[in-house]
Amino acid sequence: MKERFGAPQEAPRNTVEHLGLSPALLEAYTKELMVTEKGKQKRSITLSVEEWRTPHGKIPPTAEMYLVSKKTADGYALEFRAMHPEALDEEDLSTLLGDAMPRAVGVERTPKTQAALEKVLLERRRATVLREIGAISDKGIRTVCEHVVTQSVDEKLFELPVHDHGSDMLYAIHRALTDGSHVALPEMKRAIHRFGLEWMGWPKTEQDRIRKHLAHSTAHL
Amino acid sequence: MNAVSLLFDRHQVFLGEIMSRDGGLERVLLNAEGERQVGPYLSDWQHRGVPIVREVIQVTHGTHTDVFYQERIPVRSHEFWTALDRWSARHGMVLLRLPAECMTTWEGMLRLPLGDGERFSMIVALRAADDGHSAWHAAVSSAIHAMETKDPTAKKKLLELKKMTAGGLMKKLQTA
Repeated sequence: MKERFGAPQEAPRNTVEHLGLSPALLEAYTKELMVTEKGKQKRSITLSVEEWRTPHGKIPPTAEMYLVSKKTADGYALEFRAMHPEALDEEDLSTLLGDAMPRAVGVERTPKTQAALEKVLLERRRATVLREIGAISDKGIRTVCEHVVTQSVDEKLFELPVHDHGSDMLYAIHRALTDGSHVALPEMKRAIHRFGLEWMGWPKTEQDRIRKHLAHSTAHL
Repeated sequence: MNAVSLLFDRHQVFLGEIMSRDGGLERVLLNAEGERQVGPYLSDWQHRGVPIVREVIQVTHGTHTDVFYQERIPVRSHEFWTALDRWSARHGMVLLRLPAECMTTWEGMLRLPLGDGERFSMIVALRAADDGHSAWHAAVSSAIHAMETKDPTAKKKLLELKKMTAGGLMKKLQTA
């Protein structure tokens, strides 16, 4: 079964937020798609997430997501349907946004659209990782992990001076941020879970020591 | 028919070689950076296939609508190389198909002290050479020999290769 790192539970189902996407960054991406070579806004794109409807006609019945493109008076209305929107991983969204969308509106990818798309996907990845970190019970450890998220997003060289309890978890968090594959995120979740189990077995003195050590070893980032 | 393709990332860093037969995956050889960037996706491709977008036109009540859906291409399918090419482009990578006769020259280029961008430009120029593969092979072999024997002409030979690169790229731009 595929692990799910989907949208916030509180987001209504048929929204881009339910896919884990930032509406503001997505809007910036769609605007970039419709900018002409001279920098003018050519047309507008609206992307809506619709209720799942079994594909018919020429779409294979095995398709689990599809995008319908309709021309409007001032641009394109794109309707996205997925059987399990909360289970879509970054690769699925990269295919949707980075391949299907440009083709649906008849434009070629450019370095600018690529950069805008990466912002969308990176923000989703960051939000997913922060959500997992939110489950860590200790506030001090949680703060250290959030600090790693900030530094990883800045793409600084990530290296911890001394390997100790918690180091594996921090490396897994860094990898999950820099590599949005379906391997790195589950590995991070497992590392956080493992650390949480070990944490419960340590005495308070050891917990205090580890907390201080991790804060100290990440302060340079 | 066997084919070899070289994979580079957005910074022109060489990631590895993909060997295909009649379009289907035959073998993948990734270096350390390739393992880091592409390795996690490889197992997914082997299990589920490479994601590709298909387009169909639906006609409903006389209205034509474009519909795009995702399909997964098995690695043994003749469409694998095409799917990989599109996947690479979507991830900001470049897949360059290399004629079999150029492989030795490429392996020579890997041994020369070149930056990632220099090596990438060199292979692009080599691919653009219609009938000059043998000239490239000779130039690369000569540069390697000079380097390994600590010949004083080693720097000059490397410079000649870079001039060939510039010439080859200019020619490619002019014919594009």
